[in-house]
Amino acid sequence: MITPVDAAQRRRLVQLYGIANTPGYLLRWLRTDPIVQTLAARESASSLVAFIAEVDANEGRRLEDVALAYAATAALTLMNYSEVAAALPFRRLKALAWVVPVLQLWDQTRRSQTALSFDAPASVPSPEGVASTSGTISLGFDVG
Amino acid sequence: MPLIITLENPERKSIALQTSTGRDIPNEQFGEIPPHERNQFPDWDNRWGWPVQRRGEPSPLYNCHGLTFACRRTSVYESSGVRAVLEDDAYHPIELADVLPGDVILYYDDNNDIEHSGIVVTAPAGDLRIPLVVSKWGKYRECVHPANHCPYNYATAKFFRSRA
Repeated sequence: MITPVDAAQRRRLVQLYGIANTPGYLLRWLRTDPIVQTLAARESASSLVAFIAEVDANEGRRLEDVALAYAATAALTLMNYSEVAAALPFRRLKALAWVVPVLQLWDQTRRSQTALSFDAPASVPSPEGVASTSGTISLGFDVG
Repeated sequence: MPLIITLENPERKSIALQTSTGRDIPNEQFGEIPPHERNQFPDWDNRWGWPVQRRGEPSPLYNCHGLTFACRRTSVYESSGVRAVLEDDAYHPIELADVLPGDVILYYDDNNDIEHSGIVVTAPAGDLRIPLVVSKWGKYRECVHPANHCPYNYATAKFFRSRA
């Protein structure tokens, strides 16, 4: 079980998930979300991966569960690469289509840069409650 | 060390989709939202107010690029696929002053990835010369909206026309 997320927070995640046309859009906005940053700070990579796998395997998953699973995926991209890599099991996901593309985006950026930044452009009309913060998140990675 | 070697994508359900020159366009018909959950999306159109008109019901089957370039049959979420269509189907950029119904609008993010697309339904009008477009908002529904009134970045939007 991961950190509880209240109804308003879940609604915000569902909104963001709902309007994302691409994994890049979803990742960029999720990374600025306070819930995602909280998950990254409080949870271990293995607990987040376990949660994602649980949602993926659940045929009766709810929309909120799917959105929260992607929030957990985005949280992984804010964590230490080695910890995340060690936590990922060798498995094929059944349903969640953008988990791998999101992690691939992170991995590609990680390999091409020693520091990456995802900007939430101020010119974009922030979805209400979805991107309650904007700015730049800078991360440093060990390369290789 | 590639991260993704330990995790595989779900089996994809896609359809035959090509550009006019026969280049395959990666696409996917999503099934991650159970049918009974598809009407649980919050009403984004209400959030965005009166200029936004609903068109159709929420559907994960196709996304914006699927509406614009694939007749609502599937989702296209890789920018490379959209760029292939633009190239092979002879799309060319046009100025706002020349925009007509049927032209395409593309919204770009800061990395020049195409984050949204739509089809112009009325030519630019009003003092701000803003066209009305129909576009699909992710897995949510189709909306008819002023091009600058949506959760995507109009500041970087460009208009295109094919073969005309």
